[in-house]
Amino acid sequence: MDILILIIILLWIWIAYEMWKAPLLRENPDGSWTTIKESRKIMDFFKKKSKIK
Amino acid sequence: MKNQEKLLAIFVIIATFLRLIPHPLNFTPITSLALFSGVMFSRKWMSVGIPLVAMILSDMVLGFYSISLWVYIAFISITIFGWFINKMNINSILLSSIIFFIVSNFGVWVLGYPHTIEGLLLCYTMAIPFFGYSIIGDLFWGMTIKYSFKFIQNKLTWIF
Repeated sequence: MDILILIIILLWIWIAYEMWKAPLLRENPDGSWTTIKESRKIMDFFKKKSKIK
Repeated sequence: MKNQEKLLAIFVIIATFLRLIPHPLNFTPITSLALFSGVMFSRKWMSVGIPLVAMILSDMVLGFYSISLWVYIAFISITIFGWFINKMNINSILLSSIIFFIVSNFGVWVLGYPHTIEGLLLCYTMAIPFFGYSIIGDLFWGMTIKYSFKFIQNKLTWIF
């Protein structure tokens, strides 16, 4: 049953990851899409955010 | 199998097949049944196995659909949640409804919506009206299953 718990935890992590990495797009009047925020990758999670002064 | 587990198994199987009775949208005992199984069965494999097999059998009658797999994942997640929370009250039923909402609609998003934040938000927003029925149904079935089982258990005290 521990394996089942592990599988479910991994599935929940995958659900959270898919939601987190989804790109943000804007639909244009002509029906095309403009990317506002690119799809994120796992490595982005570990990157330090640069401070803007 | 102990007498109490036999009674639980029969009870869970009958409750699962209540899905076959015509009902309003999402007004089914699925979520409350998963929680009930997680809380009541002492053996963990039975709490997952018996209701899941009953669910698959009832789906054979109702017909499988594209998000069936996600419904099963939500079902198992709620049962595991029941192992840890170990009680069936309004709060745990509401949390179960939220787990079902997140997992099943994630499946809808993966299968039928654009894989973007807009698609995700649209999918969950479109699901909100159904969520109301889900909560009412889960609370109704949760309390019905819990108290009817207690009632039957008290009536059959001579077995235990």
